[in-house]
Amino acid sequence: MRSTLVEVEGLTKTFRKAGMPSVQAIRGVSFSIYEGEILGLVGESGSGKSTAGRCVGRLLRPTSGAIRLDGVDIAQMSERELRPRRSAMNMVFQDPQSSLNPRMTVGSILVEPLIAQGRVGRNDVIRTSRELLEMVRMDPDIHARYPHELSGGQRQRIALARAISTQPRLLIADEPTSALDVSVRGAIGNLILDLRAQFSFSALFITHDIELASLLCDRIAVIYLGRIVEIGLARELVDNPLHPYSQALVSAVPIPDPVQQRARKRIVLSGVLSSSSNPPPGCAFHTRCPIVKEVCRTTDPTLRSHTPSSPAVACHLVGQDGTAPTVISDVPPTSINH
Amino acid sequence: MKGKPSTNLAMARISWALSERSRQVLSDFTRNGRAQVGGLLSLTFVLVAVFAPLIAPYAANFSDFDEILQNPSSEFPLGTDELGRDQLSRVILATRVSMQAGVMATLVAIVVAIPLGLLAGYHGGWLDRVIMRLVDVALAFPFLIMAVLMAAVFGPSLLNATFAIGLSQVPYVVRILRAETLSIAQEEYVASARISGVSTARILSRHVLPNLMNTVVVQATIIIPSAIIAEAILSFLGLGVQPPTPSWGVMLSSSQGLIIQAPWLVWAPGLAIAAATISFNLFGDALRDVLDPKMGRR
Amino acid sequence: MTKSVLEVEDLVIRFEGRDRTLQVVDGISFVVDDGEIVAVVGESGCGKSVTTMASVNLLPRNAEVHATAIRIGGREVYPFDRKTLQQVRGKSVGFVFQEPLRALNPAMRVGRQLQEVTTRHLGLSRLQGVQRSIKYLDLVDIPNPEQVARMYPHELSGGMRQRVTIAIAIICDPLLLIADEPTTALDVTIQAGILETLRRLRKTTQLSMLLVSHDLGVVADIADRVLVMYAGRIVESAPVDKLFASPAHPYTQALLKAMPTRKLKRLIEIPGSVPMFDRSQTACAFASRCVRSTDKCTTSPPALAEFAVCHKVACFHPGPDAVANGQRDSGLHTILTSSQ
Repeated sequence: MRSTLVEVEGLTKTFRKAGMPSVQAIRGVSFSIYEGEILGLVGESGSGKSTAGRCVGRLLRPTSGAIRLDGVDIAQMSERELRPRRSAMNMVFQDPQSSLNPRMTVGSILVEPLIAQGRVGRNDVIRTSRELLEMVRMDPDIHARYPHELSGGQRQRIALARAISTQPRLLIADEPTSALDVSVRGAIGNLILDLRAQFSFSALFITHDIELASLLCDRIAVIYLGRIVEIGLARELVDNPLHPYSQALVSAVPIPDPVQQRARKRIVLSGVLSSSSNPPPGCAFHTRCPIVKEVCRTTDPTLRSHTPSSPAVACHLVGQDGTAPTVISDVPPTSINH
Repeated sequence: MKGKPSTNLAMARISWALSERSRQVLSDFTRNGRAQVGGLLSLTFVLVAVFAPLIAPYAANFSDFDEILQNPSSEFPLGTDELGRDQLSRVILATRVSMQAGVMATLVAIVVAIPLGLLAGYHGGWLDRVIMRLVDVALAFPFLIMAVLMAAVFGPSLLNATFAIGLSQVPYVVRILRAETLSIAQEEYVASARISGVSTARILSRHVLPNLMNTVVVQATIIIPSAIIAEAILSFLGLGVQPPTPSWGVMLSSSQGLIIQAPWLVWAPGLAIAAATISFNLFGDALRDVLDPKMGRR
Repeated sequence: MTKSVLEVEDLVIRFEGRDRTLQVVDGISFVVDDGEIVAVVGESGCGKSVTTMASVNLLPRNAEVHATAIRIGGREVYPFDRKTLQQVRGKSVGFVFQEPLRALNPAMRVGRQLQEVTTRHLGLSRLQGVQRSIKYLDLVDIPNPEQVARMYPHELSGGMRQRVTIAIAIICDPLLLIADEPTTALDVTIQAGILETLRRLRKTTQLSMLLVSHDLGVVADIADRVLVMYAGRIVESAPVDKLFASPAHPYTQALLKAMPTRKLKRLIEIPGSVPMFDRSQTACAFASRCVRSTDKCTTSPPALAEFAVCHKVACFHPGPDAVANGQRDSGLHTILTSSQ
């Protein structure tokens, strides 16, 4: 059994703003990240995935719950207590425009974390930044340039290099490819895989793209309205999703093959997405679930594996032996017009 | 950002003046019509202030009692006042006072406002609330009252007037800098620095402050015209510059009673105030137009 | 004989910059027939969005549009004149943009915005306009249309707002609906719903559509014909199943490969980036990133020519993918392993 690097238990974060209803971004989220694995956190907007990522990275302080890094709970630590542990984690963000300080050269951006942690002297700045650039397969001379001279893909590579420079044990990647062109996404995704192979870190890969997650991640956790609804091995989850939301999510991703796509049965969700400031009682998904039953409206399902080998699911309707509830598609397959 | 050894390297890196974007900004600026006019005029005022004693035909206090209240003529292009002093010379020399007041008041305002705005915007929480309440209180005080208070306590002088003016601008600037800081603090490069363990002091000095500079510069060019008018008001009321030092406000004040006999005594300083204010306003507007969209703030 | 809803011939679009003029679209021609959905795909910077907006001159002032002809429903709209454009926009052509928030007036109730369009373009009375608005809100699968009509845009979810935008675009029964990345800003489950709505609309109202997208999955879902654009030119044009089954242009092949599908072990990368400012008129724009490029590709731009039935390609070396045929592709940095 692999050892656990990070264990998140019952993580809750509620945002309060004066005069407005409080928003429960995540409610009781629990998952583990093992050593050397990439865990995908997949959800759509409003699911709380970014909030969860920022809590784990302690950019935000969670309202309640535990985040155990090597067994030590960092959830409520002060900045001072966190400071020595910060080197264990680092983060890459979504927006290549704002992830790099426009007034700093690439070189100084790259070495800043190392300097902050006292691991590089000021004389080594240029040499270190060149090495880091080579590590992410970029021209080392770029260290003298400014971010605005580079493309989005290049900037994300630099953000990655910066994040890996301190050799963190956990890399939190918050939608690192969403703002990039499709052709460039592959490069960044592969880069993460290569770097992981080289440096053996774990990663929490936050994305809305479940197909991408199935390719990059070892395991996937699906999050909906602040709750984890399913966790399982990446390929298995995508090939055979259990939770109705996971099924809808997988079904909604169009296959770039017109023949297959139009012949598929697709699940289209109706109903309105509930708001995080007033989450419904019972199962978070029941307002949109095509097979909702009475119990779903009243009781919150717990995340558990029904059999030792099946993935963990939070749904009342999963069969005793762990089989997926059948979600009847009400969308007839369309034929291709000529 | 001075003195620390690693920042020498930092200064080399943050070579703002050399980056292509700044060159672009400069080229935009020089092509902007308002920038050209405003910039030229403002520069003229500054130059006049600097070289005032060389330009003015007569000394400020040179009185010729034979030439009291003369109409504008070839000898005295702007006429003379009730003490026979050449108005043109006095207007020119008074430019110094106004520019001094403008620049110094602006410096005071910025030096006080930057740390307050930074702390309020970045730290948030109770510090933010306290600072903003103080700002509200300060805004509730009309600046004239504060200036009068200062004059009463410390004695009327240009220096005290400048301080009062500078301090009176602080609340406005703090508000703007706080908003800008809040926006910069949301940027992902700040979050990146935090998670990498960079200390708050370093984040503020290396990430927030340099990106705040654009706003600071624009604010400065906005304060200068306000300061010029403010100094004129204070001097007009006798709270600023003391005679015989010429100031546009003083000149306006003393010309009040003579407005029917010698209207030129009012025009000269009045037009000077208007012209100075307009040029700096234009310059500031143009600067803001050129700088802000380039920052790409969404 | 199907009538063409939109005909564009030799469209050239230039943008006046500060010190240079950039030609973003290099003389393209295409047609949208009655009742068909044509998708324009490409990455950012290829010119697909400006192409669609140019047809009714919705571009900013520093844009120059030249064409041999632009016809909407058989009617000549180029050279542009205000009167024709005003009549055409909204009535013959409806628009749906990526950001529903921008298209809707935040200070006006949704129903009223719809009704105003009908009053202006169809001359309906207020009551008739209201009735029509409700009908079209229902047509775009909005539940409780009467209730929704009384709401403000910010009270609706992103998906609902986009449906409202679609309703506004089609309420005058236009000949053509132009949709520029209509689902890109939406969650994938919401996107599935909107695509479903568009598909049904096409069936029930015979709507023609010009759809711009960078998402090949969306294209596979609803398009009939596809135009692939790269750096301001159309590089391939084909019926949708042909394009996906046997793409002929190397760029199309690379794009298709870059889409993550479950068959891959690793994601595919296309090295290099889209040329933005150094577009040459004397070479194929894709040559520098293309595995098959030869000298010919750098000395003259290939023209869009017939490759197979209804299938046009602009390439000197069109044809099936070398990798797929088992030969090693040395140019692309791909590690394509078998699907086990």
